Amino acid sequence: MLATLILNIMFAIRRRVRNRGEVRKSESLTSATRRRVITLEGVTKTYDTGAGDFSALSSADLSIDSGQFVAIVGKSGSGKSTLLNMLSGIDRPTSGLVEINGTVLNDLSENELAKWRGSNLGLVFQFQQLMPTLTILENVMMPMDFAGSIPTRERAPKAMSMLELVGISDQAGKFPSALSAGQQQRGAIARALANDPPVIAADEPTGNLDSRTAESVLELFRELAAGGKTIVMVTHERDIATSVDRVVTVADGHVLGGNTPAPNAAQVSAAVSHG
Amino acid sequence: MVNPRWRKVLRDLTLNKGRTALVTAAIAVGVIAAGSILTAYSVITREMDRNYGDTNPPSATLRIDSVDDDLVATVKARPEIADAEARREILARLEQGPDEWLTLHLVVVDDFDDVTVGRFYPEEGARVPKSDEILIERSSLTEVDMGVGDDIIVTAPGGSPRSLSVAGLAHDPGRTPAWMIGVVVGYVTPDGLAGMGIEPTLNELQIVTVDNKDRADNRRIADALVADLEAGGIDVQRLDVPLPGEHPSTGVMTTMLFLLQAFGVIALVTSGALVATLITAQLKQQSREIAIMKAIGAQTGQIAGLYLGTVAILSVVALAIGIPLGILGGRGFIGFTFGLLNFEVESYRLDAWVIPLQVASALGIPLLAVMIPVTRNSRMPVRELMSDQGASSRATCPTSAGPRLSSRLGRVTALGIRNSFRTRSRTALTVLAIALGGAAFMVALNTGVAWDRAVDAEFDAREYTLEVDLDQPYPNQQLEQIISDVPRIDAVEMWNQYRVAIRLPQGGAGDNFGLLIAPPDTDMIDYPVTEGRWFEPGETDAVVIAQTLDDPAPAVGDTVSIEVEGIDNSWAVVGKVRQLSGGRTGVAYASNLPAGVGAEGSANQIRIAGDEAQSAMNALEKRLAENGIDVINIATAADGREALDDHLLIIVGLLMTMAILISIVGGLGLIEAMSISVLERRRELGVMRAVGASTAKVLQVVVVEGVLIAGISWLAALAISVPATVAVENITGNLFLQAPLPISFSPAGTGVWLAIVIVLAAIASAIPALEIAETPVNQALVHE
Repeated sequence: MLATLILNIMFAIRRRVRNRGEVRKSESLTSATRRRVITLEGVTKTYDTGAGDFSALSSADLSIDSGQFVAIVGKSGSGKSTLLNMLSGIDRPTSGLVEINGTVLNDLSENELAKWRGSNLGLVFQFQQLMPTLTILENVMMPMDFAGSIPTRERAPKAMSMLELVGISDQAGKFPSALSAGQQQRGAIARALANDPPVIAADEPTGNLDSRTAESVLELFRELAAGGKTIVMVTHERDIATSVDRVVTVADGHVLGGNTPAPNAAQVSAAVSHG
Repeated sequence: MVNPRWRKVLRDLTLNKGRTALVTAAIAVGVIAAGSILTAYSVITREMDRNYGDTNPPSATLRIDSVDDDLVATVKARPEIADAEARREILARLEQGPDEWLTLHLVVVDDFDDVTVGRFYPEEGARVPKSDEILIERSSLTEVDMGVGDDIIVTAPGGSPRSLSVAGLAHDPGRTPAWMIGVVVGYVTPDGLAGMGIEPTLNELQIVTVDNKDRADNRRIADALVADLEAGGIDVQRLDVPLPGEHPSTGVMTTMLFLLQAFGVIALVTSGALVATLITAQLKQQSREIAIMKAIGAQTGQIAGLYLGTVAILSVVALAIGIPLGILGGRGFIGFTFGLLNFEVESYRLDAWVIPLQVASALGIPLLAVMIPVTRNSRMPVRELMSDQGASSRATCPTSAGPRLSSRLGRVTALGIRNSFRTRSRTALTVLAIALGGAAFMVALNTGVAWDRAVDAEFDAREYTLEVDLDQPYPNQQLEQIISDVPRIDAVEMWNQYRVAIRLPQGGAGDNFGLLIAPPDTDMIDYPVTEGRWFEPGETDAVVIAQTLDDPAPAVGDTVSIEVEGIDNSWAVVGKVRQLSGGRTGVAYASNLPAGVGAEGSANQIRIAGDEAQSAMNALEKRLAENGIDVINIATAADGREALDDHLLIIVGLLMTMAILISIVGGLGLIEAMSISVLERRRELGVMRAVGASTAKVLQVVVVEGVLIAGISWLAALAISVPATVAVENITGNLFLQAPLPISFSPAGTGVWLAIVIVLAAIASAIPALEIAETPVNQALVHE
C-alpha cells in the first residue's frame, strides 16, 4: 500500500518536472523550425469491463512537435496502445483533451474523425492490415479514394511514388499475400503516406518482423521524420532508443517520460520487458 | 477507372463465390416470385377481362315465352340498350354409355354467323351446325370422350332422344369451364332443337346496355324494359342481372390473385431477411477491414455505400436472372390457369408498371433489409470494430443456469446451446427468414386442410346421395310409385325448387338464387344453423337462408318479399345455415310452397339416400324416362363433391407451389446461416481440436447449435402461422365461397416443416464442421 502511494507520488513529481521541461523545450523549438503537433492534456481512458471499470490511461499529458520520431514504450497492458489510439482518434478519452495539428479531436464525431484521419494522420498497424483483395498499389490508393482530395487521374502515379519511396514499387501489382511481411509493412507505410499527412501513428509496426526487416522499417521512419513528418510509434523494440528522437514510457496507464535524447537501451529494455 | 474501394467490392464478391451465389439466389428467388406474380397479375387481369369482354356478355337476361326478331329489334332500338339477341338455354341429357347420362347445357342459337351477345368462337370443324348436328364447347372434352365426327344421343325435357353428329368444337370463354361443374355445353340451331321434339322457340332475351358498367344501372334499365314488356302483354318470367364484367370464374381468380399477392409479399420479405442475414454475416467477418478503412479515412457513408453497393450489384445480377425467369414462371402459371379456365391469351404484353415494380422491389427490399446492420456497422468506432470477434465472447447463460445446463445435457451439448445465442441479432434474423418460409409453408398446408374440411362439412351435412331435378312438378304419389321399383334406395324425399330473387325495397330484385322447399322434418340435410333457428313444426311463410346469400343479404328477423313463379309472398327470415353449395348467389330454404305455386302434393326435385348411388341413378333415370318424366339434372353427391373439389384444384395447386417456392428460400437461408455460423467459429473449433475434441464432439457442438436454431425458427414459424392462417383462410373463404373457411391447422404440415428444418440444419452444420475437423489445427487457429 505504502509502496504504491510512494510510487504514485514519485510518478506525479516526475510527470510535473518532465512536462515543465517539455514546455520549455517546445517553446524553444517553436521559435526555431518546429511547432507543436500533438497535445494530450490529462487524458484518462476507463473501460467498463465485466469485472468492473478498468483504467487504461490516467491523466496522461504529452506534447510532440513536428518532425519528431517518438517511440512509446511500455509493458504489455501498460496503456501505450490506448495512448496511440487517443492521439489517432481511434478511441475517445473518458476525460482530457486531445489536440492534433490544431484540431481538438474530442469535438469531432466518429465520421468527422474518419475524415480528419484521412488527411491528417496515417496509421500503420502491427499486422499490416492491407486489404487482401486489393493490390498493393490499390491499397495505397484507397485513402486517396476516401479523402477525395487528390484528383482521380493523379492517384495511381502518386501511389506509385509512395511505393517508390518505401522501395517496393516493383511489387505494385501484387496482392498482399504474395509479399513478404516486410514488404507488406512497407506497403502499409506507403498507404499511411498516401494523403501526405503530417503525422504517422504506428502501432508496433516492427512487432511482426525479423530484426533486419524491422531495422529497415525504422530507417524508413527516420527518413520520413527527417523529411518533416511527425512519427509516433508504439513499440516493444528493446534497442529503440538509438533509432528515435524521443522515448515516451508508459506504465500502468501513466505517461512516465518523454526525454530527448532517448533514455539508454537498458532503461528502455526495463520499461518494455514483460517481466 | 474503377476506384479501389469498388474494386474491393467486386473482388470480395468473386472471392466469396458461395456467399455471392447465395445472396444473389436469395434476391433472385424473391425477384422470380415477385416477377411471376406481377406477370401473372398483369396478364391475367387484362386477358381475363378481354376474354370475357370480347364475348360481349349480357347485362341482363329476360326469360320470356317466346322472343322473335321483332321483339329483338324493338328492344335494340331503345337508346339505353346497345345490343339484344334471342337465345334459348336448356338443360338436356347426353348419353355417355348404356344407361349413363350426363347433363348437357344446350344453347340454342338462331344465327351462328351473327352472334353478337355472349359470343363464342369456332375452334374446330363446322362453325354452323346443321339440324342434325351439334357443336360442343371445347372444355367439355374433359368430361366426355368424344370428338368431331362422333355421334351422340341427346334428349331434352319434353322431347325424345335424338342422335346428333358433333360437327365442330366451339370456344366459349364466357362460361364456367365444363370440368368445374361437370356439365357438357353444346350448341344447336332451332331446327336442331325441333329435331329433338321440342318447340323451337327462343325464350331468352339477352340485352347489353350502352354503359354496362354498373349493376344497379343495368338493373334499372332491365326493370324498365320488363315493365314496358309486361305493360305490352309480354310476360317476363325471370330476370337475371349479373355483375358487369364479372366472369363466372371470377371468385376463383380473385382468390388466386389474392394468394399470389400474399405469397409474393412473403417471398420478398423472406428473401429480404435472408439477404440481411448474409450481409450481416459479411459485415461481421469484415469488421477488421471496416476498421482499417475507417482508420485510413473512410467515412460512415462511404463504408455504408460499399455494402449497400454490394447488395445493389447483386440485386442487379439477381434482376438479370430473375426478370426473365419471373416472366417465364408467370407465363407458365398463366398458361396453366388459362388452360383450366378455358381462356386464350392474346398477348403476354406486360403492363408498363410490372418491370419497374419488379426492379424497385428487387433493389428496394434487400437494400431496406440490410440498411440497419450496414448503418450500425458503418457507424461503429474503429476500436470496437477492431476488437469485434464476430460472435460475442460474453457468457450467454445466467451464471446459475450455465452449470445446470452443463450438468444436465453434458458440456458439449451445453456449449452448442450457448453458441446459438452468441450472435443474437443475426440469429434473430436467421430465425425470422426461416420462420417466414416455414410459416408460409404451414399456412399453405393449413389452408389446404381448411378447404378440405369446408368441403367435408358441406358433404357431411348432406344425408342424400342422389339429387334429381325434374322439368316440372309431378305428383308425389306417381314419383314414389316409380321409385319404389328402383332397387338400392333407402329413403326418398319429395322437394321443390324454384329460381327466385328477393324484391328490393327501392324496386327491382336482387340476384337469382335457388329456393328449396323441403319436407319440414327433412332428414336429407343437416347444415349447421349459424344464426337463428330451423323451421318449427307447422311454421309457414318462413325462410332459412344460406350464409352465402349476399344480394341482398337479409338479416335474421327481416321480412323479405320473394316472387316465386310470378307470385309475390312475404317471408320471415328465421335462420341462417352454413352451406357452401348453391353457387356464388347462394340458396335458401322455405317452410312451405307459397299459395298458388305448384300443386299440392307434387315435387320437381327428388332427394334420395342409398348406398349405391351410381347404379341407383342409372336405374332411376331409366324408370323415370319410361314413365315420361323428364329429368333436367341428375347427380350423385359424389359428383357434386368432385365438382367442388375441382373448383379448388387451382387454389390448392397454387398453395402448394407457393409453399414449395417459399420453403426453398427458407431452406437456403437455413443452410447459409448454419454454414456461416460454423465457419466463423473455425478458430474456436481449432482450439477444441487442439485440446483433444474428437470429430464427433466438434460435430455435436455445431449440430446442436444448428438444430436449436432450426427448432426456434420452427416455433417462431408456428407462432406466425397461426394469425396468418386465420387471415388467409378467412379471406380466401370469403372471396371464393362467400364464407370464411373453418379455421384449420395441418399437423402434418407442421411436422413436415419441423423435419425439413431439423434435417437441413443438421446437414448444413455438419458439412462445414467436418471440413474444419479435417483442417490441421495450426491452420484453424490462425483463421481470421
